[in-house]
Amino acid sequence: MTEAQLIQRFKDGDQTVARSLYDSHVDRVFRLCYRFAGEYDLAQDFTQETFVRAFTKIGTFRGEAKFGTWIAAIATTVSLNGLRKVKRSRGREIALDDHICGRSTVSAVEPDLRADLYRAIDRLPERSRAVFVLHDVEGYTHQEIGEILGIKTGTSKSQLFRARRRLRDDLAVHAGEWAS
Amino acid sequence: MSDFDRFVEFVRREGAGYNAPPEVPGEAMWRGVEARLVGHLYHVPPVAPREEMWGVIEAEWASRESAAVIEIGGRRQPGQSRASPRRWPVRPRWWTRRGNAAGWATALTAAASLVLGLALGRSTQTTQPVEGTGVHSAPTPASEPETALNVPAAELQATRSGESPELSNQVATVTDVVRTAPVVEPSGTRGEPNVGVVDGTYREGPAVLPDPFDTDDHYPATQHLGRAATLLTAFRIDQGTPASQQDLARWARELLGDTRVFLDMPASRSPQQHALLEDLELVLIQIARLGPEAPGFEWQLARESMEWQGTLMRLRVASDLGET
Repeated sequence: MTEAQLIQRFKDGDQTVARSLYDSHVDRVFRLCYRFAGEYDLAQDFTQETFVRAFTKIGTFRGEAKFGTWIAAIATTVSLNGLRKVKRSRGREIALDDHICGRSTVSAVEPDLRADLYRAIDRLPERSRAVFVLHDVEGYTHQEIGEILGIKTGTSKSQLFRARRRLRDDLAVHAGEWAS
Repeated sequence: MSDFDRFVEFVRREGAGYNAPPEVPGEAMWRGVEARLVGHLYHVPPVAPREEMWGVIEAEWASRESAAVIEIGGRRQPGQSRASPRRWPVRPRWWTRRGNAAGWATALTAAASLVLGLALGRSTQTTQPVEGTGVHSAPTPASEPETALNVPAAELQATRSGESPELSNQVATVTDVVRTAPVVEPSGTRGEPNVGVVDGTYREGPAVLPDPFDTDDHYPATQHLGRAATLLTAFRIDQGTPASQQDLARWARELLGDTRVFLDMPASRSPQQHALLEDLELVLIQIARLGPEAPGFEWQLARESMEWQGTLMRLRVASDLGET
C-alpha cells in the first residue's frame, strides 16, 4: 500500500494506519527535533507532539507536498515554538541564578574549534539557524526548506548565506584552522 | 577554492555532529503519541459534508419562507387570476417574535417608573423649602403685570375669551398657582435668585438643589473627597495583607456609590470637578475589584492609574480648598 493510500485510509477514519505512518517517519522527525532541541527529553516531547498534531490535522493535508515535508514542517514549527517557551523559562532561571550567585554567564573561552562552532550555531537567529540546520546539517534542499518554513527559495538561500557568514565572523579567532 | 568555500565545506563536515541525535526511542515515543491521541481521536469528526448540508439548509429555508408568505390585497378582484398574486415574504421582526412580550413589558414599566420618578423629583425640588433657606411669596402686582409664563395678561384674557371655559379655567389655575408659588432662595445668597418665580416671572431651573460643590453646601462633597483621599493614601502604603486588601476593596465599594451620586449631580458640571470625580471613580473601580486573590499586576495597574492621573494629589487639593 502506498503512502497516499495509507493517508486516504486514515482520512477515512481507519486509525490503525497511524502506526504505519509513524514508523515510516519517526526517525527523520526525531532527528530533526533533536537537532533543534539538543536534548533527548525535549526531542522526544517535540516528536510526540508533532505526530499528535499531524494525526489530528490530517484532514488539512492536501497532498500537494510530500507527507514527509509536511510533517517536517510541523516538526520545525513545534520545535521552534517549544524552544521559545523553554528559553523563556530557562532565561528566568538563569537570571535568578546569576542574581543569587553573582557570577557571570560568560564561561571561559573554549579553545576547541568544533565546540565553538556548535556554540556559534546555537547563537544564530532562530530563522537562520533553522535554515542552516535543515540545509547544511540535515540535507534538505532549498525548495523543501521553503515548503517547510513557508518561505521562498531565494529567502532560504539568503538566510543560509547570512548564517554561514555570521558563523565565520564568530569563528574569526580560528581563521585558517578550518582550511586544514 | 576561496576561504569562504573552505569554511562552508568545514561547516558542512563538522555540522553533522551538531546535536547529533542518539538512537530513536521509537516504541517509547509511540506510547506517548497514543496516550496523547486518546483524547484527540475519540469520535474524531470526519470531513464536514459542507455541500450536502448547505443543500438541506437552502431547501428548508425556502420552504419556511414560502410558508410565511402573505398575499397583498387579500380579496381577488373580478377577473384576477389566482395564478400570479403579489406575494411578499414576511420575516418576523424582533418585536413580534415570541418571547419579546416580556421584554416590552419590562421596558415600558421601567420607562413609566422613570417618568414618574422624574415628575416626583421635580415637584419635590420646586416646592419643598429647605432648612436654612429663605422662602417668600411672589408679590402680586396691582397693575397689568406679565404673567408667570411671560405671557401678558391681556393676551391671556383674550385667549380665555376665545377658548372654551374649561381651557380658560385651566389657564387661570396655572397662572394663579405660579403667581402664588413660593420663591426659594439659597441661604446666604450673594445675588438675585435665578430660579423660581421672581417678580411674577417664572425662571427655568431647579429652585432648590443642594449643591455639594457650591461654597455654601460644599461640606458633603469636601467630606467625600477627604475620605477618598484617605482611602487612596491607605491603598498607596498598603502592605498587601489579605485582610487589608479586603478592607480596602470594601471601602472602595462604599465610596464608589457616593462618587457616582456626586457625578450625577448638576454641581459636577464644572469640568475640573467632573474630571476629578471620573478619575476617582476609575481608581475606585480598580481598587474595588481587587482582593486577596487578585494578581499582582492588577494592584500595580491600579497604583499606576492613580499615580499617572495624580488623583490623590488633586483630591487633597480639592478637599483642602473645600475646608478653608
